[in-house]
Amino acid sequence: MSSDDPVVHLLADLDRPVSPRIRFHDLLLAQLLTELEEATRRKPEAVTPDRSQGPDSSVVRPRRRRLGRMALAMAVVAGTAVAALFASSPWKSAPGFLEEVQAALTPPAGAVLHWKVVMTPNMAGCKVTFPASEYWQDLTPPYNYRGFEVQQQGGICGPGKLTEIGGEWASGKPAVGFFPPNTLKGTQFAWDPDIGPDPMADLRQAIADGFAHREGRTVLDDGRAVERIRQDCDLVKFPQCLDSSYWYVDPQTFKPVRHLSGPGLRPGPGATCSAPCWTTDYVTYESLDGISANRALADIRAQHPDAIER
Amino acid sequence: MPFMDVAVQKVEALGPSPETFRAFYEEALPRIYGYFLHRCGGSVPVAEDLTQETFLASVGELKRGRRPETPIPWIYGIARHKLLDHYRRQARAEQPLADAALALDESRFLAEDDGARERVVAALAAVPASQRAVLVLCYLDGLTAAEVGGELGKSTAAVHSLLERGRESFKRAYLEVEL
Repeated sequence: MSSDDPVVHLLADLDRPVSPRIRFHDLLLAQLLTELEEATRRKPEAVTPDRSQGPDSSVVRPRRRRLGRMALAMAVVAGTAVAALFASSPWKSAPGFLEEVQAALTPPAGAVLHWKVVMTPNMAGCKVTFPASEYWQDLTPPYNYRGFEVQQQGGICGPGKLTEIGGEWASGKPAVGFFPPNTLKGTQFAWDPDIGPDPMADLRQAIADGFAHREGRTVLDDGRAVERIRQDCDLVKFPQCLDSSYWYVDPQTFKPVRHLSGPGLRPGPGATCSAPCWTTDYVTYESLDGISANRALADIRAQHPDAIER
Repeated sequence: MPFMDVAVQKVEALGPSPETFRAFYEEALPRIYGYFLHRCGGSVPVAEDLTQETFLASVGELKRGRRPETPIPWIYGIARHKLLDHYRRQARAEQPLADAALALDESRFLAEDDGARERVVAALAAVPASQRAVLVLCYLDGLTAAEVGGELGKSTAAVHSLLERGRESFKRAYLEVEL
């Protein structure tokens, strides 16, 4: 096996660490910690035969739970309990409030949705605020989308960097990414088919189906007054849902301000959750007119007409 | 093993406490995931499945009281067994071309300058599973032919034969792969 051997040389280049998808990292860690916690709660002699090994394991397998669709869906399914909330009581439900939210979050036909979020995962003993992610979604078939998505670097506590991605929701295919100086190339990111082309459709549907509940007025840690909505799991439609998530909307415009999600999440002062959990802060959420200039914002190929696609 | 560098030694002890395990997990996960990703044709689903199986097996060992003093090499050992099991399943089905197709279809989030590595991964996936196992164990994991024979239940001569054929298969596949 000479070092001059081209086969050896080529294969040797393969030994390098690769960070897996964040969602995979998180759910596998949660699964493993649960396994360990179960073990530490038992007396040593009471440890039962390991059920976690091998392909027949009864432990939930993350990939089977549609974890492959983490990218853009993170903006609507992620959240953490870092907000210091000062809830006023009693929580009362005003008639029509949820319907007003539903209406405010229903975009006009043919619009182009534009939103910008800052996501903060809280997991593995660290809290990282990613660079702001920004997306455009054309609500006209084939539902082009384009966005600047966080690709995590430097381990789970790394800051991540933004990469421009885009595609067609209707195709179900993974997004292509733009790689400077001039290349479009396939990526592993894809829009979660459960979410649909409109990221607020899930919340609107939850309101329609009775899974969303107004919890009342509260104040976020930055002083903003908001209304809190609890969205419970619709396990028929989303069997992979782990726990209720929480939306905070502006009391005047009803637009999203923050979303918290994560297993075992308990909002409010001293909020807690069992890792991993996420905060998604909405910097912008708006409907743009469906004119060609705006539709082009959702089309990565239109933004890079001279790019070489591989 | 070439990947056992100085950096991995910073995780020195492993027990069942969540704090200790998390530190180990953060250190080991990208290594184990990359180990599988590169050896399984760049297939993200396969790499994730095998990574999950490996870590679950490691937790199983910890629950049974195992306290590895060198946890990174230890989990690489578990990973290698999972990989060989995977190769054996593939060898029984012997569908290297299907695997290669998966590698090409499975789009990955690679930087532009990763094209050459992507080509190597795809070419490796196109090599028949029995030959691929020998290539990986010899050239990537640094085992001797005799050690590989022990792992695979083959004679040293058979390993040499597989290695030679694997090299030719790899070269041919590398030249044919189009990305």
